[in-house]
Amino acid sequence: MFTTGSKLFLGGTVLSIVAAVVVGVSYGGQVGLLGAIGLASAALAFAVLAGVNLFVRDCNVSAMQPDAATECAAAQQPAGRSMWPLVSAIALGLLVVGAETEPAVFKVGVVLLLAAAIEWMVQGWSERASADPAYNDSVRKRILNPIEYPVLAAIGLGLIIYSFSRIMLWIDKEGGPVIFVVIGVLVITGGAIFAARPSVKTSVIVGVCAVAGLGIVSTGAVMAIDGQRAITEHPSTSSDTAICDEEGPGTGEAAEIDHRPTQTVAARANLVVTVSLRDGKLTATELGLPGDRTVVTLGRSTPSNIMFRNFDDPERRFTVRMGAFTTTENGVTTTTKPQDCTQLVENGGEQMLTVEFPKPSFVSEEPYQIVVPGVEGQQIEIVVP
Amino acid sequence: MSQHVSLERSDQSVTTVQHMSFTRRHRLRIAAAGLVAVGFLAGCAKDAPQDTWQPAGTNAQTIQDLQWWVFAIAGVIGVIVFVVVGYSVVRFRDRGQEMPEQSHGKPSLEIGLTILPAIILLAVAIPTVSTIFKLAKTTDTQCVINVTGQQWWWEYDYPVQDGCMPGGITAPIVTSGQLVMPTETNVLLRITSRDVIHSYWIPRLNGKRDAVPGRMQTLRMQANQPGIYSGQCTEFCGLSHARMRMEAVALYPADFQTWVANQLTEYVAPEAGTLAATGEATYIANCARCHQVNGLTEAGTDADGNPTVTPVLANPDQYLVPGAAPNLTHLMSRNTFAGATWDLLTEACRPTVWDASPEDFGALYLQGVTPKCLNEYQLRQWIRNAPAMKPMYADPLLAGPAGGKLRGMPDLGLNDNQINELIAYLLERK
Repeated sequence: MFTTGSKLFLGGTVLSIVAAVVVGVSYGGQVGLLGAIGLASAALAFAVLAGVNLFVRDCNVSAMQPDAATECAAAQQPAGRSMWPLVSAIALGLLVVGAETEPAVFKVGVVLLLAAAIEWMVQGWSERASADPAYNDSVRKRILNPIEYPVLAAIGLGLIIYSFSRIMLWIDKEGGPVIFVVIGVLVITGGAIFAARPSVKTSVIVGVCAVAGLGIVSTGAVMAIDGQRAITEHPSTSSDTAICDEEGPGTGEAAEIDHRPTQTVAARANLVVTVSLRDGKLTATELGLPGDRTVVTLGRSTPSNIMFRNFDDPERRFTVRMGAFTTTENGVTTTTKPQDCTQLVENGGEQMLTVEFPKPSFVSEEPYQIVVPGVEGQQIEIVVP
Repeated sequence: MSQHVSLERSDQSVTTVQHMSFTRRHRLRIAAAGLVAVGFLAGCAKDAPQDTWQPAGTNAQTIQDLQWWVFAIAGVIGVIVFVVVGYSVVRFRDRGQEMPEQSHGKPSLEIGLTILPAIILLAVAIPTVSTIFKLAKTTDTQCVINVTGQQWWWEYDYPVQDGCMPGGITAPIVTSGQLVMPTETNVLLRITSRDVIHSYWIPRLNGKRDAVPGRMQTLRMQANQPGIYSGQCTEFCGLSHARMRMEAVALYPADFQTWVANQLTEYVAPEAGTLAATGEATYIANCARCHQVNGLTEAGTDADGNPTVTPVLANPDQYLVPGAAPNLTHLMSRNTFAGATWDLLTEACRPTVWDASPEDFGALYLQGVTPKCLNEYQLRQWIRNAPAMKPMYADPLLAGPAGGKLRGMPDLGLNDNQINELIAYLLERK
């Protein structure tokens, strides 16, 4: 009897009447009267619209057409079941919660609400596209599937990758490669089996993939909640005199040291000087100049990359002493001796240092030098023009 | 009626023939004018100082050898293509004939047209790769010079080394504007930049190499004969990119030794009471915070009133974005200033040095700039207001975004007397 459109307007009519009564009684006086009049007017308007919808059976056709009541699309069937009202409700909930807690939750709510609005709108429109439900469904798919599939695939893939990263960050550093290899072998083996047996049912493949995916996601979720393993921050270089002057681990030096250069490939391929410690002797080679150098020339106000290679025991660090400068300010004389150094480098290891000298070497009260603390009588002089 | 129609057709034919004749004549005129223009423009490059077709060293010659080979191959192919296209255009032009039968797929032709370009590319690639390796070789280096670009000039420093000349270079040398190198010597440039990417190119001595901040690139140089070889920055680097020039000066090894010895001479203070002596004080007050003059000292007193002599040390890293300004210790030993944009020699004196014979060049160059030959007019303009001559980000009021540092020399607001004093002082910086 009642069409969908008329239900909406009848609901509005009832709500307006109730609101008019509530406002009129609760506020009283002129305000209550004006409110009640306004809401009563709205109720009247809603009632008229409900009547019109009932008369034309929600159709955009002339009321004079006798077939309208039976042939127009809206009159054929009620709206189909839809999950989008529920999704919209959840999205609104996330918006409210997110506004008070995490911005990320709020953003998820916004995205979800937009997605639900689009899906709901297209579904609602497609259900009235014609009197043929199958055609209506195909119209909806034609519009939304090209968007839904890539988006869902990206979300699914992202979820698996994120879960996998949580797993790798949770497990032990040494165990990581093992797990990685095992999973890789399993994936390749599974793929090989499926490829070798084309007769395997699609449902079996989908089932296995779904179980594997769920396993990764659920494990990742558990490990994400538990938190990642402790990762020690270990800078490869230092400007701390307490460290640079020390033969062994310096004060405040990280226990875990990266013995390999942490710089980029581009920087490593751009060495100006290479310093080697072998049999207690320090030698240097300089880009473009033949043989070993006892004096190297580095540019002023421009970064220079120096590689240190240790071929001796024990672990050694490589220190660049960048002169000594005395300044007097407010009658107080201060001498600074800046230096840069690597962390300890094991036998066979190498470490790179990028240094920059803002002043020429003749300005300094002490020469610029490359030294290895603990190795006496060995230094390379640096000249900065 | 039929006669009338026939006459009309005849008139149309005459008009069409006249029109075709006019069009043909018009095209011939355009073609002739084009040929004349090409010949004229080609003639313009005869005495160009930056001509890649006039190599003056082994490295540039290596490029030239490759260039000719590739140019010959490309030229032959180009001629063949144009002849075939021209023949096709004329022979098969539209004369109202029927459209010829269209065919598709001829394996022998397709394979042939795949193999032929591959062979041509191979013929070009083999000498090209060989040339690349030749030009990248550093093991035969006899002399190393560091080249550092900044907006908008080049600094050259000579590391302490055994090479370059007998006895080697015993103390570092810093100069700018002109790269001085010995002839018949394999020089290796180590090129970098202090601010943005520049590109170093002396066309008659080698190809170009980018100067990239944080990277050290190498470039071989070798000059057969003494002389000055021009170049310019070939990577757009800001306001005065067009005025970031460079010159390589090749000297016979004996002359190069003289030049090195001169660059390592101790500072000689101006004679007391002269205009140059006043200029020294003016220099210390206005220029020394950025420009270094090696050996320059300043007299003063300590806290107890005792006389002291302290070295005057520039702090370009405090005032300039790249952290460097040209070293002026031997300014008048070079021929240019302001990023090799202007000559220090007058127009009258310049040809004496630039056009000198290889035998005479060294002696003339080593004379440096004499008072008679100083291009005082432009040097004076530069000292008075450098940014007016060369666009730079050198206005202290606009230096905020760069942490208060400038790019280039600012307007120092010097008066005529100060400029006179500075010129007198700088004239002694040989």
